[in-house]
Order: sequence, then C-alpha cells, then structure tokens
Amino acid sequence: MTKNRIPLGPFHPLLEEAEYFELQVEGETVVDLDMEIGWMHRGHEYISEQKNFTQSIYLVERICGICSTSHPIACVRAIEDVDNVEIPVRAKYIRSLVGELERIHSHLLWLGLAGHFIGYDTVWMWAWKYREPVLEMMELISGNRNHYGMMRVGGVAKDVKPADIPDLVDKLDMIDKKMEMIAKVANDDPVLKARLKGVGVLTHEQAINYCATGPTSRASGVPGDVRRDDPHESQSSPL
Amino acid sequence: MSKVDEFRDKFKDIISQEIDKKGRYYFNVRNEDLRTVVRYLFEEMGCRLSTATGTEMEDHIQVLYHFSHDPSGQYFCPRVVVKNKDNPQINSIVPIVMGAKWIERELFDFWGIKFKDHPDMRRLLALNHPAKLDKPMRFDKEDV
Amino acid sequence: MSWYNKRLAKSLWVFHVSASPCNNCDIEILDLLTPRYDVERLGIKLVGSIRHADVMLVSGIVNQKIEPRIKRLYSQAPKPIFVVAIGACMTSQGVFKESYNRCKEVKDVIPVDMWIPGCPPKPEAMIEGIAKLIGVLNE
Repeated sequence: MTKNRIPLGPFHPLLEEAEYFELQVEGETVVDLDMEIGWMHRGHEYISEQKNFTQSIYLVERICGICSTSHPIACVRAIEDVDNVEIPVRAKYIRSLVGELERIHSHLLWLGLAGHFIGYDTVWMWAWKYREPVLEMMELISGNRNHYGMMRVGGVAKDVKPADIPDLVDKLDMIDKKMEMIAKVANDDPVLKARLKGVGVLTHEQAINYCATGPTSRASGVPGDVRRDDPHESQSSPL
Repeated sequence: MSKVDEFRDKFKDIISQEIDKKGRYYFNVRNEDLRTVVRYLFEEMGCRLSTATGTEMEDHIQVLYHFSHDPSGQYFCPRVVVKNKDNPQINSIVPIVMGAKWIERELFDFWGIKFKDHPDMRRLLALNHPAKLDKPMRFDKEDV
Repeated sequence: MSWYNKRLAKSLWVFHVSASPCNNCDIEILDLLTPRYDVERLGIKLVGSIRHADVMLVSGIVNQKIEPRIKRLYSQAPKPIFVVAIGACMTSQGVFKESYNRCKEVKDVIPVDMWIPGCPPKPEAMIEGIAKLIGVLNE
C-alpha cells in the first residue's frame, strides 16, 4: 500500500487551538506523525518576571481557561513553601472545594468534546447541559464562571456564606444522580465502543518510557494517583 | 532507612550542596556524573521525570530536573550548573529517558543550552518564527 | 443590498478562529450552542470552513507567528463578512501587554466590526451582541 502525506493545518474544525500535524497514512491507518507548535506562545515566563506575587496569581490563571484552578494553587503553594507558611484549616477546605468542583466541570467538558469530534452530538449536548449547574455553583462561591481569582498567598480571597449552603447542597444532590446515569450510558454505548475500541493504544512499556501521568497512565496499567501519593490541602488534614 | 538516606549513602562523593525539605530533596551534580545519577533514579528506583526548569543567574546558567518517586511521594531534584554563558553545553538524558526530548528542545529554544547526543536538536516554540525570535529568556534582550 | 442583509439576518453561519487565546472565550462560544443558551433557535450554525461563513469570530491576542495566517484567512473569506472580536485579549491585550510575542495593534491585522469585552464575556453579553448585529442588518 502506498504512503500518503496529509497536512492537518493550523485551522481545522477538529482543533480548538492552532496546531500543525503532518500525518503519514497507509489506507486509513496513521503510521507516522510530525508536529509543529508555537502558535499559542504568549510569553508568560517573561511577563511574570515584571510582576509582584499577587499580580502573578492573576497571570497564571490565564494560562488555560479550563484548568484555571490548578495553576493558581500550584503557584500559591510554591510561594508559601519558601517560608513554610501554615494556612488555616477552613482555607484548605475552601481551596479543595473549588478544586474539586473544577474537576467535575472539566471531566464533563472533555466527555462532551470527545463526542462532538467523532460526530456524536448527543453526548455533547447532554454532558454540557449538566455542566451548567456546576458553573452556577462557582458563580455563587466566587463571582465568575471561570477564572475565579480565589487564591491568595496565605489563604483564600472570599469566604463561603452560610446562607448559600442549602442551595449548593441541593445542586450537588441533583448532579450526583445525573453523573451516575451519564457514566453508565457512556460505558455501555455501542456507537462509542465501535468507534473507539482498539484505536490509538498506548502500551505499558511506552507509558513508562514517555513518563505519562494521571488517567493516561492508569489506563495503560501504570498505577499512580497524586491524591494518594502526595496529598495536599484538605486531603492532608482530615477533620 | 528512608529512600533519601539510601540515595545519599550510595552517591555521597558526587553530590554536593543538598537542601532537604519535606517531600523534596535538591542536590547539585556535575555534568559528567549526570547520566549515572539519572540512570539510577529512572531504571533502578523507578522514578518518573516530571519536568525540567532553567534559570539564569549573574555568573552561571542552571538546569533543575524533577524526578518523582510515585509510591512514596518523594521528589529527587538534581541540579546542573554551567559556568560558560556564551556556549552552555549539558549531556542529554534522552538515551535513558525518552520522555525528555521536548523539554530539552524548549530549554535550547529559550536559553541556548545545547544538549550533546540529542537526536533532534531543533527549536520548539520559535520554529519558523517570522521575526526570528532568539533566546527570549536571557538577560541581554531588549524590551518590546 | 438591504434585501440581501434581511435574508442574511434570519440565519447567520459562524466560523470560529482562535488566534492564541487561553481557550476560555472559545468554551463560552461553544456554550452558546448547548441547551441552556441555545442560539440555534435563532438560526445560527457553526461551520467547518471559512468559505461557508457569514460571521468570523476571533479570540485571543494575535501572536506574531499566526499574524500572516489570519490575514490569509480573512482574504479567503467570501465578502461581505462581519468580524466580531471576543474577549479582553482582543480589545486591549488584557494581561499580556508586556509580551514580546504580540502584534502591535489588532486593528492593523484585520478590520473589526464589533468588539465584545469581558474575561470571559458572559453568554448573555454575547447574545446581546448578536441581537445588535441582527438589528443593524435588518435596517
């Protein structure tokens, strides 16, 4: 079979950002790949050399709009580590609350986009419909749907008001039931299985050599979970 | 005996200037001994390379590697200091750790550090840049 | 051209271009198509190629590497096309004012018809912008 070269240019309906791939295909199987990146480079490291500590928290949030809590938590913990600052227990729990709500909305986001990119728009609409209550909860706690601005050196910027708590608990109960339904549906769906089973497999050996981490490495059989190995915030000070 | 003490006993003649914090262990190695230490950390202890960072100071350029031992949550961080600022060179660790290809390309792009025996030493982010962006993180760069 | 504009306002086809954003504005644009803020009831559809589009949505600071591509993309679009710039990064470069990699002025790269500020702009603000555009076309 002859090999063909297909350029997948910076702008494509499949890509949310601008990246350039050059695929070598034989029939329908991708055999080799070359990549060029750099269209998104904004120079965060250079800009942060001219800001003070509090300004750099706002800068670091805008590295990515989806994971916009992980970067400020890492930044603030690095600054607190310089002098071994201890923060109050309530602040640790508020940081964990914001972080875990972001985990929920981020997982629903990739599930929806994975369905959209293979042409299965039902998964997209259902997953993003149940993402809206999570963003409403974030707006009640911090004031914005993304880019919360909640982290400060030594604690958090805002407190959770007691009058808001029954509302938050109601929304969480509703989301809990719907998550079980979505997980069951996504695991059993015949269309997803037919399209995705056996495509793009990463072996155990490759996952160790290329230093994969998180859910990617757990799917290849390499055990490792940062919540168990290196616990931080509320995971390290249980009530 | 903890992992850090085992490591310290085995390599006490080639590491220097240690900083020992909770969960993080920083130490300096020379360029010639880097591959021995990395081979022990990656192949025998089973650590995973997390990332590598570069800094420029008044009289040297340094690269700090972060290796994570996942079962115990302990980080080992060897640091390599290069005094020659005009033409910095460090031994590449790609023959041992395949996952270090792109992080070394980024260090070459931003600071101009050349890695010996790297299979594909090209720039990463400023490849085919129309304004010929060159070593943007070094001190002697004009401001925009 | 006014009879053409009135027909156009009934169903606008939209193409989304990302010129070095942080992706938050892009996710809020995709949020407009989902069941809560459904703009498909106004006839708006997301298309895959610039040659099918009536409105071009741009977000992000325009990087020096991507600047020639955006100019080429604008010249490939069938005229008349409306350019809508979304986000604080487009209007005033946001937190990236001191970056070494940004273009000098967004107005010099492509001509922009409408600016929507915010970081990210809320979906309600974007729907107000679309309603104003449809109102202008209907005159």
